[in-house]
Amino acid sequence: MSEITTGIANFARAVTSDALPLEVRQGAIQALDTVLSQALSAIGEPLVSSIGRTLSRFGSSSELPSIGTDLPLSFAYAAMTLGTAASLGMSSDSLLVARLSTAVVPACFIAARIGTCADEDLLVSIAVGLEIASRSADALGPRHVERGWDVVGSAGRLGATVGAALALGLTAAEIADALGFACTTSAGLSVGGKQLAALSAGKTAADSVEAALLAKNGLIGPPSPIEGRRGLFALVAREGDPAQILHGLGESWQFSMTGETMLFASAIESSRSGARSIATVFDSAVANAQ
Amino acid sequence: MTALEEFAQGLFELSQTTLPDEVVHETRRCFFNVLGTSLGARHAREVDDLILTGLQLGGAEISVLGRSEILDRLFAAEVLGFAAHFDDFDDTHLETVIHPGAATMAALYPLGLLGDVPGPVALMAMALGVEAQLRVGLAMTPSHYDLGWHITGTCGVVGAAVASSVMLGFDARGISNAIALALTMTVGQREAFGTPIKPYHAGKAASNGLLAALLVEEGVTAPAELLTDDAGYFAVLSDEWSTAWIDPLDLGRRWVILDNTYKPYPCGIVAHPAIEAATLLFPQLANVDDAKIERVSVACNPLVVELMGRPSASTGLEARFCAIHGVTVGLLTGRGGLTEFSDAMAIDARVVSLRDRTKLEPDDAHGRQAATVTVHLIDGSTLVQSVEAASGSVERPLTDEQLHEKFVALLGPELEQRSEAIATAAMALGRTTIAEIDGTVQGR
Repeated sequence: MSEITTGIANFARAVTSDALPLEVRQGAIQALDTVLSQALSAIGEPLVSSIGRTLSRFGSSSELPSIGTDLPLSFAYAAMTLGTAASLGMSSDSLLVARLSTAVVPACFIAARIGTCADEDLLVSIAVGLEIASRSADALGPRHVERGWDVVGSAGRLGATVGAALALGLTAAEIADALGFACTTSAGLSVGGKQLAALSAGKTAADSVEAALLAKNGLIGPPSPIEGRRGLFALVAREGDPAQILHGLGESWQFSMTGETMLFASAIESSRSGARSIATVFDSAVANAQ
Repeated sequence: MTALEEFAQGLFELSQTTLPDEVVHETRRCFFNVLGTSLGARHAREVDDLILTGLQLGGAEISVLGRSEILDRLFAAEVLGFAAHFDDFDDTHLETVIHPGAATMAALYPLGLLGDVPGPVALMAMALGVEAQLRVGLAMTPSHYDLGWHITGTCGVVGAAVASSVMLGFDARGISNAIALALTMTVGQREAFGTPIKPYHAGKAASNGLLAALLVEEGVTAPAELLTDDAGYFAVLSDEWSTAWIDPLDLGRRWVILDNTYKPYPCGIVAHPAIEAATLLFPQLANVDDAKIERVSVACNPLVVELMGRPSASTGLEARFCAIHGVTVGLLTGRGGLTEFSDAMAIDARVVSLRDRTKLEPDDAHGRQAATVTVHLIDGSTLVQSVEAASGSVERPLTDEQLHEKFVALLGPELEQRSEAIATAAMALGRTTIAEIDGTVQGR
């Protein structure tokens, strides 16, 4: 494996909830609170309903109450609707990290529900996912977006995949393989407007959970998906510097998420002390809102 | 109207006409071939892994590949496309290097199982799905692939979206919206060649194109400027592109699906001339001790080195990108089938030994369809075999009989008793429906 891919995977695997700096943990709580609240606020949006109707026709083996439909959605499609709704519910002047969180948080949140990820570990996966997404966005550089790429579909996807992989308990080697799937599915065009940006966030969240699970189930990727000669940066950001992702990684945290407390902050905090899981609280809120 | 709207209008009008006989025949050959390659890979471990993922993440609607697991339509499409391209044994449009059949077949097949879609509609969906994605690929050729994109995935989403649109009975506006949405869901970087991610490109393209059409069915739209905007699909994916290939006036005037070819060997097509030359040398080498071979030189088009220049292979998947592996097994066995590109053969001691003595020699004088293999014996003598146009090329396409032999061999002993029934139904797509074809696979 390459230095960059391995470096990201090893960093992600090494972070523990005990060692998470307080302000980083608070940033993850803020992101989770904000994304879930935004998604709840967008339940009535026509695009969310369209996606919900489309995906609920496929049947489901899960019992997840889902945004946009009265029927349960399976995990992949719960991630897609959650990401789309979170993006639609976001204010237009949101910072980059908030946009990235509309893919990262849904991927982590749904991946955590597939396995047996504790709420504290969910916060770790969100923090690591946002850190990788933020660093990747910086490393891709401004030309990446100027050319027409949707940074949530690229940088957000790397972070969402790493976060989902942590929530699913992947090893470092498996995380590296998952990044292979993340790079090759990086997609999305920024010229499509708010509706397509939202759909891209939802698709990115779903694809990222899939990437992580594919790797966990045994499918391997190439050694250098990020910096290889025909890898992500070579194709979508020739002027970017993939090595920048690793600069200071593990020594300092780059992402910062602050803002007003929204609907779920107290539930997230109370889940620390063994109260009802944040997922249960969210499910109730969704059921009541629809 | 934008170029995309005009293209979609042209595709819709074409969907309302009768296909020329030669297009019907080539469409059936294309469908038949990729159905065969998908069934040939149905028990690969990697297919198992993908199905498991679909079971964990997706819904439950249909089974495919004659297997028992119930997947939803998107994961069924993903599995079908993955399996169809898994062995790199499917098809190739030589100018673009697109493998167009896998994503197209994989997108329309689940819809054919779920709905009462008439056979002629499925045939039209297959024809237009292939035609549309090849034309979008031609519009960016050669820049797009040369940059490093796996064009089978990046254009496959278009083929899957168009095929799905025809299956769902969309008008021109619907087709335009489905293509536009699919343009935001591209997949495919060549860095992943030699890993299971390469066939995943075809599978995910099928799934994404199908998803795009299903969203349009529920009212989702996308701007028609996405294809040709200054920051749109063509612009971000290619340094150079032209809309001439998607000019609606050109649609139906000529059919690029007629240039599609079907692989006689399960590996990158650029190595096929050299592999064929090697198999032709086999009879002369059958009684020659391997130790008497000093070295083997392969004069070939430089693209062989670029695309299939791996110096060694430790797995069957890696062997598919190792031209000298194909030459070696051709010399040692006279064949180049799935067995010769298996994991076991990739590390076979005899193969490794001769492969290490085999070298590619890029030569501009050799076209993409030509190669010369020279075996240098330790007594100073040489055996030389040239191929000017490989089997499976546009100049020497596989005959219907050769395709049939390939199909039956891919189905293997498990489906042997039903192979003729499956082959007859599949080669009659249009007169038969997808449900009827699948019934023969399932043994119903």
